[in-house]
Amino acid sequence: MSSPLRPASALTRRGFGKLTLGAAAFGLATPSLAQGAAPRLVVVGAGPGGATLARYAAQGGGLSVTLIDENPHHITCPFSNYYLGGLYAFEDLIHGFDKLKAAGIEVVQGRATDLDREGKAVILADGTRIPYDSLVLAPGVDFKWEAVEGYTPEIAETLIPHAYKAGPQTRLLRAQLDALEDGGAVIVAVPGNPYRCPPGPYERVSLIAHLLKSTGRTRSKILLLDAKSSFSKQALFEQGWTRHYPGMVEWVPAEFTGGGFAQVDAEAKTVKGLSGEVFAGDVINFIPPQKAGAIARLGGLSGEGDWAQVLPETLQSAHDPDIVILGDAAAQGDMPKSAFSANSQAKAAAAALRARLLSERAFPPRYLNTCWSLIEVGDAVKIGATYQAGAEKIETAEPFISEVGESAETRKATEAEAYAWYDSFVRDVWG
Amino acid sequence: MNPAALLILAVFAALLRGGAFPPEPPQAPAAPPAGAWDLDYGAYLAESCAACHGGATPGVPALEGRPFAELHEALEAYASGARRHDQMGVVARSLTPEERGHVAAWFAGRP
Ligand SMILES: Cc1cc2nc3c(=O)[nH]c(=O)nc-3n(C[C@H](O)[C@H](O)[C@H](O)COP(=O)(O)OP(=O)(O)OC[C@H]3O[C@@H](n4cnc5c(N)ncnc54)[C@H](O)[C@@H]3O)c2cc1C
Repeated sequence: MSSPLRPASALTRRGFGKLTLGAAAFGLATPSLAQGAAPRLVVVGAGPGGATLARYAAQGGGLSVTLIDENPHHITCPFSNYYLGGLYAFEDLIHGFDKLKAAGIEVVQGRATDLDREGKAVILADGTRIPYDSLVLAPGVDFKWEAVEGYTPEIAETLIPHAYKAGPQTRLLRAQLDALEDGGAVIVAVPGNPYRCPPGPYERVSLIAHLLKSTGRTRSKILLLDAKSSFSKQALFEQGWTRHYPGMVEWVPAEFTGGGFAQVDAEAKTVKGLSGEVFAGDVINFIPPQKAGAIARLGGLSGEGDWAQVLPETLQSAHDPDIVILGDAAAQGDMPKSAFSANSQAKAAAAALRARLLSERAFPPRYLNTCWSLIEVGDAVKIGATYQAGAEKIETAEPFISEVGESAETRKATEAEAYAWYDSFVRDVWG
Repeated sequence: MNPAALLILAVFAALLRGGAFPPEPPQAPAAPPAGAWDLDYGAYLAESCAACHGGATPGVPALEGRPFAELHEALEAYASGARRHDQMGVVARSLTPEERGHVAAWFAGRP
């Protein structure tokens, strides 16, 4: 389906005229508004958050929308675990920006490295200045490379992939898994909260187990080293592992890891917990602790913390009303860092932006999320909720979760939903 | 045989064929007069639906162009719990009765 198009009403033009006059009269730092040109919306990051925002904000016209991404396409983390499990083609994770361009969005390839908030411009690595009236930052996460001794970007790219941003590392991990001998040990090391996609590592363990089992390597073991002492959908995953992969998955909680990791030794192929205990694996997937993408931490946008503080109603930065921050980079209250959340937030933020910039009718924000996880072919579970803008943060309104005792048909229907969601979601984000 | 008797016979025959009583006439409101639902608001609410209902894959049905009464009844049933589905329950309950009408009317009016 084509995504819903809000009709541009006559009110839009009237409202815009009013805003233009106001901006000129008060000499606001909104040059394009003062000249009567379309307000300039600049979006950094063409992932689920940024691309959805650009697409929905551009609908109805009246705005000049520029979308900046350092890559020529986006490779989704959602369904990258399916690829690892041999259930999805890597090519089908790659989404280009042609349909966004066709929708009138100017797509610029480049890395945004700095912000001139006084002069209202984004600065790219090559020095290009891109002026804005309103700015949206949706850069996703950065890894805390400083947190774990011996784990560097180079090690991640060559020997011990995190594969927690989909791309070459996802393929490297799959190649390592393909080469594993029956009886070999795989380590998946998971950080403490918050990190992107709370159930992601556990779905990954499930689908690695699927890959090994479906290729006759059931003597292999997956050691799930966890910084936490409980995890998302735990009862559902644990039941699934016992049912589908008996003896293959061992969860090692915080009690044994010490609640985090001190060191990765790429030569010895070991991971050392804060407890001092050392774990060895033939293949190691190390998922480092995370923080907001660098551009969303500049100039105090993330305060003292790792994530950018935002207003629950509009996702405007708590530190700068001309900047909206959404998706994984934001401190998004009760919402988990998921692509579904980013997509949902982007729609609310786009409507709020059009209301501010074009004096269009304002609608209350609507936030929802669902994270499906495939445990084995034909057996999927889900967790989700609706949310509301509270005074301090986005708050859970009503949650739901799959049940341990569900029927096989329900699990199969949930699997079908997961595939249907991915198909629908990528159209909703990239057109 | 007079026409009324013929009608009764026909209803009987239909009952026998179906093996059950005919369904209750739908209780949902008839399609509203034009302008009764806020379609601009409906369009905004429908943006949330596009995350899951926009694909061409079985598993999640498309909503465009379905009859208003069908969509509206379904949302009401999800909201009350008469019809069960995890997401649709929480989604329907997050909408007011008026909002359920706006969004159903918007989808019903789509080609
Ligand atoms: C293994 C795995 C499985 C997952 N599965 C699911 C799932 O099933 N469902 C779900 O909802 N979520 C899932 N997630 C979570 C999901 O991937 C993230 O929550 C989502 O991608 C966040 O979207 P975002 O737009 O905030 O950031 P991102 O997706 O990270 O996008 C950020 C974009 O910004 C660009 N960028 C960053 N900084 C700059 C810069 N300075 N200049 C220019 N460009 C920049 C990047 O190139 C990127 O394209 C999964 C994650 C993982 C790791």
